[in-house]
Amino acid sequence: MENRSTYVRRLLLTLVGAGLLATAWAQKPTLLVANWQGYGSDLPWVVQAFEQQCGCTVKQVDFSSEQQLLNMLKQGGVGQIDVALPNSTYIRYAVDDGLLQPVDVSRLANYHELIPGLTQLAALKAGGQVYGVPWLWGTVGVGYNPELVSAPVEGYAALWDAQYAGKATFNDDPVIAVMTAAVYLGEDPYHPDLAKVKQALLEQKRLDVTYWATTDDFTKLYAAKQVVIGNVWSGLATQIQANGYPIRYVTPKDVITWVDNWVIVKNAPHPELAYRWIDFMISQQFQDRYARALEQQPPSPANQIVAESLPPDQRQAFQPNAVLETDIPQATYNAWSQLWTDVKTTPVKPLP
Amino acid sequence: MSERRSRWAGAGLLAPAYGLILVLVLVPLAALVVTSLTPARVTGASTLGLLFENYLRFFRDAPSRLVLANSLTIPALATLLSLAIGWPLAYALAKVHRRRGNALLAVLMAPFFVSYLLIIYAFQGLLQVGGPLQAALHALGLVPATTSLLYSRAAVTLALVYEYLPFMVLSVYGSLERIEDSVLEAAAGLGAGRRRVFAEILWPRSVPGVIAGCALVFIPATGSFVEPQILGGTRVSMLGEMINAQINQTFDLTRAATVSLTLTVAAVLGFALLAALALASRRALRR
Repeated sequence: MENRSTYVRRLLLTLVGAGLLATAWAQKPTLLVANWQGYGSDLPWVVQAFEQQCGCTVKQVDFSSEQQLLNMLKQGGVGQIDVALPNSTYIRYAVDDGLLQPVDVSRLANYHELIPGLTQLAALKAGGQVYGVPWLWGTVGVGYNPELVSAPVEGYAALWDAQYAGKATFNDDPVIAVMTAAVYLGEDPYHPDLAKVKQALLEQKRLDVTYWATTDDFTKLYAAKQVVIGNVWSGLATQIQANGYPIRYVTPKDVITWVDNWVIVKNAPHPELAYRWIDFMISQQFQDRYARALEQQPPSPANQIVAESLPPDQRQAFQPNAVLETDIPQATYNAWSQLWTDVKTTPVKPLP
Repeated sequence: MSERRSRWAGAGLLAPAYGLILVLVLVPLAALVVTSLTPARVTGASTLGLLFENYLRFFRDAPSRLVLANSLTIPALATLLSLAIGWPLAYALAKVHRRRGNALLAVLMAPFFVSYLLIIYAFQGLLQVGGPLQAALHALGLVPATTSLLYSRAAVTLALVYEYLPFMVLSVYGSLERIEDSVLEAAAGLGAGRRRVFAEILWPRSVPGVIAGCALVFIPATGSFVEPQILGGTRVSMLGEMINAQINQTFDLTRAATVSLTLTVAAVLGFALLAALALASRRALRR
């Protein structure tokens, strides 16, 4: 009897000890990623694929606005978060606030596969060093219904064409609104004459039934044929097409463009993992699979090899004179925001 | 001695209620008034040097006046429509279908159990091109196939009527229910026709309920901003949207305070007009 209980006790102790050793040995490093929720980095297949490659675990912390990302980094993110995904507009702000570390692109095996037009963007660099690695990008062009629109649509001017009165919509975003109007007027999109822009936006409002702000808004309007033309994100147009509604997407010459980029946060706990993550995110393996999953409403891939292999209705060429949403000073943003609110609350006489 | 004590006791019992009203209503209202009188952030130096510069700027701006007019006419129409629909409904519940009244009342209250946002989106689905209501009207030949009822003042008014109808019905029901059956029987016995009964008994006695119903429909409706945004689109503009934009998008609290107080005063004045009309109608119908 006594020998048995001693034997059992020893067995239990050995098992527990072995278990503890095993967990200690299997303690994997954790890469902390900051990104929008549901934007490619938290998909199960992505996390699995990367965790297998690196022998680590991936954890994500979500943000729902660019400003929130900056706040997150300022309030304790530095030293905890490894990589983050800011829009090109915000990289300069983040660098100025000392939140990022420069990226040594020679450590990224896939960097040379990226579209040159993107990697050369000034917004991704500061003090002669690279801070942002372009990942996905998109444009805000003109989408129209080819079954109901017969006239040729060439650029943003179509959004001001009176023949679409009562059948048009426009994106509810101050930066896009002001820049689109500026391009239409031929003004400098970063320093336009605000009085003229406001006038143009009010004229455009006469054609609209409503403004759209979310994917849902636009899709509902378009699917119900309430609108036949409007400015729309490239990824959204692709998704609408994939869902069976005919839509044609026009990229104007000076198309408004945005780029999302991976950055390495200052004092990142696992810089080695950070480089492997970024390399994986820009690799053909990820970009190809992600770009073809149309239900995800994917933007365009920055990996050139992938970009050129996409079917024609999905392929988008990065325009050399794209108007990049970037580097807008806070004071300017406030002025544009006020202008846009004025436009939204001013009643206009709809065109018949 | 005991009288003084009871007076103090009375004051003590009232103090919490008054305190609440003071802190939660009067103080914020005063803050709102003060905020609306400070010079606007954007322009900086006041061009007129007057205390009410913000208000003057609002009323000098033609688009703002138009939006204010919208914020009064659309709710007024909604109030009148809800009265036109609600009064007969209340009468039927109070005087005709007395036994089944409770069940019918419960059905009428159905909109209360549904989030008003859901109601508004449901209207969006009903009124859009291809939606059931639009399809039905098209089948009747009233509306062309591609014309949508959505994004119009009619759509906004319709939603407001649907949302606030229960208030009107309940208020009028409360008044009509109090009319004793003996009075109606006496009138019938004396040979009064239905029109006379309505003009001399039913309508005048229901006016207090009508006025209460007007208050419950008109005043909240003037502040609506979700209905014009979702159902009116860019074609209907109401002050509620302006206030919402100024608070949540441009963070211009001065302008928001100015517009809010203007709306409050306008709403009360509008309601006073409706109440006066209701009171005057009592005499007018009594030929």
